[in-house]
Amino acid sequence: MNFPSELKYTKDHEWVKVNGDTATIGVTDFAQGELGDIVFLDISSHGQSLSKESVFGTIEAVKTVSDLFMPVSGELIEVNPSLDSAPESINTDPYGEGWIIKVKMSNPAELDSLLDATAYKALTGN
Amino acid sequence: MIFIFNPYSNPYFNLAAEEFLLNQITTGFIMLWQNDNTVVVGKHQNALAEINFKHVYENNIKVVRRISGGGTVFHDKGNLNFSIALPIENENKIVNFIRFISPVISYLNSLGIKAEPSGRNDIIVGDLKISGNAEHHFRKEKLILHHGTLLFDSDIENLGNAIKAIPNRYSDMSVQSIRSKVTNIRKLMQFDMDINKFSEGLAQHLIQHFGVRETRGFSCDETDQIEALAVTKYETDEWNYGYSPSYTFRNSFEFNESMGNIFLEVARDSLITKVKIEHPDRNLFDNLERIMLGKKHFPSKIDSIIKHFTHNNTSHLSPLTFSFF
Repeated sequence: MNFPSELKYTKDHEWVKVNGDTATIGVTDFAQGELGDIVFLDISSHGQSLSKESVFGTIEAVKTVSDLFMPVSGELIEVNPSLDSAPESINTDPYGEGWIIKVKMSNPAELDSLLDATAYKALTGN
Repeated sequence: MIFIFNPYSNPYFNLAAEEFLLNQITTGFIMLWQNDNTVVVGKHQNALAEINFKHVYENNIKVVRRISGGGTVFHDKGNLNFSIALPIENENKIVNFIRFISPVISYLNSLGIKAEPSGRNDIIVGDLKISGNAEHHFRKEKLILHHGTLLFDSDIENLGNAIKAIPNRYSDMSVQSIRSKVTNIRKLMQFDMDINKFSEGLAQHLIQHFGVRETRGFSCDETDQIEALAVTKYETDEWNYGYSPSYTFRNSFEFNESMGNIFLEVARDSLITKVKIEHPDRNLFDNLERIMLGKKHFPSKIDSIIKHFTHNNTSHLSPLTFSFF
């Protein structure tokens, strides 16, 4: 299982990659393994400004729909367009092709409250 | 943990009741319930693509979308549904269907039925499915809703016809149903009982298993609030059909002894963004093409447009309407 050290993580099994004031967000390798085959992404909050921990969409794996949360506050500026036709890229490449949204952060200081790779790995019991 | 006694059989009310209780009882609840003839589709499915619309309409079968994942199921008074909502126990065990279905399986085993979990989180006997299961994880509220069907003595033929979708009409990227061979529990039992006895036995078993302290029905106030949610969400075409992901529709049809072809592009929210109808009667179909563009691909909406241009005032759907679904 993969826990890239350059990423930040949440207790809700999401990862955050920071580039300037833009955060790219996805679900972790651990989470996709637990969820199983991802069959659908439902992100209806494109263009909206959402606060940290609000729900920005849902993800469906084998018969299970789960909420997705904002790890940081900001405007949802991009949704990965390839997930409509290929949601399984979250299973095959969770940190690359399987990225879910990009957010223009309104309060980058919130990043300090996220976990680093070591802390997240420990949380998952690995 | 509360056990909710639910005597209603209206599917719009019952699905609204689940959502209402999830927001009210965060410590968890159990509810057993039954619906009159209903097709229930998964949250991210194309509802119209999952049903045989003509059969569903002619047999007065309701179509409702649920909030959990997975495929399409059929409910009738021979089917018993169980809902179990529990707080998330372990953040790292993200999916754990066994926690919810093992007490149901142990109850079935106690009746002499060799029930076991399947690889797709259903309950099977041999290679036949008797129970379909799905979940919604409310991770913010830290609550999981698990629900499942139990085919006790359902009308399996009606079930098959209602969800026998017509191939090649709809094309989309929505969640597909996995068709399974099913059977009824009643004919597998050593000692016969009716569905009420079966349901009472399951209630007792679950109450004991989950350590339920309180059993109650709905208060008048709760019933009012659930009915309001049913009217504003679960009875609406916007939720049941309009929540479907975007799709295209193609069909060939016969009208006034001439053949024709229909092609529709339908966006999220059921908005028709492209219409092409090939048929010699240009007077009628030019009008239909023009008026349908930008309208919703709902049976009631399409029917009212068709009736307007064909001067049909009957209360049942126009025969031409069925060609559009």
